[in-house]
Amino acid sequence: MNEIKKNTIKAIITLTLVVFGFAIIGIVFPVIAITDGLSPTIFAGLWGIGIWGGFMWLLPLICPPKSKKRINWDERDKMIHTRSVLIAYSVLWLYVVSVCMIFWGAVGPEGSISTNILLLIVFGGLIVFAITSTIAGLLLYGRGRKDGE
Amino acid sequence: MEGGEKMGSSQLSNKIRRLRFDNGEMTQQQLADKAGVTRQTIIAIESGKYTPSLLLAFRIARAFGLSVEEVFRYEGDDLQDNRG
Repeated sequence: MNEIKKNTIKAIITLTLVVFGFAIIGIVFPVIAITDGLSPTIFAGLWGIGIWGGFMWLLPLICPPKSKKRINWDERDKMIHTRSVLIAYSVLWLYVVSVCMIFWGAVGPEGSISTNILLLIVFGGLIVFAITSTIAGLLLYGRGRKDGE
Repeated sequence: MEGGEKMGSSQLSNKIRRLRFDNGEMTQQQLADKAGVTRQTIIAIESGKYTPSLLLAFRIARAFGLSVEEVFRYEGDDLQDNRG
């Protein structure tokens, strides 16, 4: 099995774990919490996961992936990663503003909403950030176009 | 200067592909290893989709034993030549 196939399998496994994690934490827990009512402690734990999850994008900059055999992270990768994260943060900001305006418009200035909604907004933002940065990275790398020999 | 790929929207061109073939048919991977980057970066530089940093440009030039000006060319030089 060559290196490309190994990296592809690693990427598929990582993506599966991330999506599974998002599905369990981001969707199931808030739904159960809202319908059955979980304790504040669990919500605090989920908040913590959401906040730290948002910093995962820093990892490639702090601990760039290293291979003993060959260089697999260079200045171009760092540039593309930085740009894709900047794009994702811009979209995340638009998402937060949009959600806030939607709820403000829905309930009005005198209305109120459950604080559970904040948790959903945080996890929704994580998903938006992850998807946007991934798509931006793929476009910047120029996937689908023939390069080189 | 003959040939060369124009780099994206910038006014830089390079002769990396020709220099590779002139240097014992060096592969992109071999050049990448010498320059300390990935093969995909060399591909992007050759095809003009990426402009290397100054440090990387020097490394690539040193891999061929040449100066930076012999590997990369700033298109603005053509304007100065035409005026002179």
